[in-house]
Amino acid sequence: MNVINTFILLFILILLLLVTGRYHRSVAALLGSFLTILFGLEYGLFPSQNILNYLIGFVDVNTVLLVIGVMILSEAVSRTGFFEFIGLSIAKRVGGGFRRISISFMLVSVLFSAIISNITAMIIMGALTVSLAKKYNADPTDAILHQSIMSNVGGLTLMISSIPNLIVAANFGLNFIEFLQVSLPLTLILIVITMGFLIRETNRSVVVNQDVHIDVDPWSVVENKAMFYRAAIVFVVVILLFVFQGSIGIPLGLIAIGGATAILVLSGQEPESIFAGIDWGTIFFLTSFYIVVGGLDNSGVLGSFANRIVALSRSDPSIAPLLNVWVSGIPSAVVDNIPMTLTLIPIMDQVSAMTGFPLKILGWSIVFGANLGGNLTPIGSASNIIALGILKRNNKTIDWGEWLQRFGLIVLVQLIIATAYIVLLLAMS
Amino acid sequence: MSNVAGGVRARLFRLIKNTLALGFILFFLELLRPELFSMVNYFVFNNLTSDAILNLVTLIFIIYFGYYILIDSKYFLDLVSEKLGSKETNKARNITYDITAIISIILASQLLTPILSNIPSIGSTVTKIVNLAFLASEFLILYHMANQIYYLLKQYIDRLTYRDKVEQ
Repeated sequence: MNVINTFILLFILILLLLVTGRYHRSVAALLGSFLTILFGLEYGLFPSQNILNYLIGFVDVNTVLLVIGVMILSEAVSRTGFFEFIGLSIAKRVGGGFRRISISFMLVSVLFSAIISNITAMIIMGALTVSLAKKYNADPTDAILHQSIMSNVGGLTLMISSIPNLIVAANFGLNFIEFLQVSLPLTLILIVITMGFLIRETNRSVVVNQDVHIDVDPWSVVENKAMFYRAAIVFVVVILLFVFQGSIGIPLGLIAIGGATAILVLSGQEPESIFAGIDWGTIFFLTSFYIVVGGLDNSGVLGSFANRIVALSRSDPSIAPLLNVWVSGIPSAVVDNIPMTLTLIPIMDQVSAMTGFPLKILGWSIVFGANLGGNLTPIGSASNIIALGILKRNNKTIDWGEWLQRFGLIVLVQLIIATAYIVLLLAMS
Repeated sequence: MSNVAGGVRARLFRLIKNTLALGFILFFLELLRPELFSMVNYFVFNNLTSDAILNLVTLIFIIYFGYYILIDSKYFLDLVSEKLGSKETNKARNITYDITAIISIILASQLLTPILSNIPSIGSTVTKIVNLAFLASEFLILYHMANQIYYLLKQYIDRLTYRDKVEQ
């Protein structure tokens, strides 16, 4: 077996381990990176001397710092009760029946998942929805499922909204403003269409629509107001620095880690408890998978994929980004969207170098596909898994068939809209 | 002693006994081959060669002992196949696990072959033995996978026929 086939088999093995979920994704990626190193040494792809220095070259430190910094920031801010406060304030202001609150919570889910990880967003929204549903004596199933779908839409809004966005931004030089200019309009279009679809779907199901007065004070979820304000200020400053990063010229990773340091110093929270809340598995996964991708690159696998894509798009160069939306979208329904993004980035780098095709448009296609594809199945994204977990605790189960029946169509519509949006971007570029 | 343990012991004993018996008979017939050549051609039929007679006798023994060996091997395959999928009831997931295991074995053999073959003097023999073990494991997993695919399809077909019956 030649080197390319061996590395393709190795990649398939890691994807299968991720799909089956038999091992934690970080363990699967660590195993993959270890095998990559062994095969890399066997085939002479990596130097046997100073191998560690060579391997560190594969890891994009800027992206890793950016992810760690954003995770610490959002964890510290959410611990102050900031997001529960916003959620309860909105529920109180909207008032009316549970259905009205459910609809407003769809928008809140988009907002939260645009700012914090969709896992945290879904946990906060799920807890709020379940407690409000009890007050209204309503079934929270539809509301929670819809929030999960909407939080994946929210994942493509900003540069900090999801890990694929951070990776693409750090690798393809997309800044915060560009996300506001390009990704935000698409998110708004998708919000309108998806909400329309979901509201129609809710109409078909039985909804208890009682008018109950919410007497919960939003401030009751904030334990320490001084901590709350300090964390909120640091968070806003970091967002502003992200917005003006282009003119400041500081790397994104440095801003994020600086913000994380500032929040650890100023928020007055115990750092250990914040570190305990960080998803270290994702960090391990990210760094390990960089080595896997490095091995794929050195073995020529990514080059051969890039050549195929170039050959496919020779007649029409716009095929590459259009294909990209679906190539990153459909596998993201069963595999984590981070490996798909990490694998596609060097391929797109090579495609762009070979064809002279704008790298940023290829980057957008990865962002759109990777975020939206997760909605296709119950295991497609972390927020879906959390939503199903919340429902299971409330004695409700949703199987794959029901999920696909209810949301398959809207996800396909979302991907088609994203593809059309790429066509529009191509026409404008 | 449970029924399964008793069954395993009895079948294992029979499997070893039959395998050794077949091996001994085949070895003995091979030793006999040159002696039989002169005897048969000289005394009995002119047109019946000793090779044909020996091949026929060998075939009879292989069929007789092979039947029991196959039956016992299948019993152990089923047992291992059952154990492989004991924790997972989802057939599709089991098939995915099997594919994962097959790829792992191929990669392991790819990784180990050059290392083992470099061992001085016994390298090639060890490589052959290890690769044979890998091959045997792959067959076992393929058998398990085929089992799972069969039950998966059976479930699907049963569901379809049940639906048809209900509709009728």
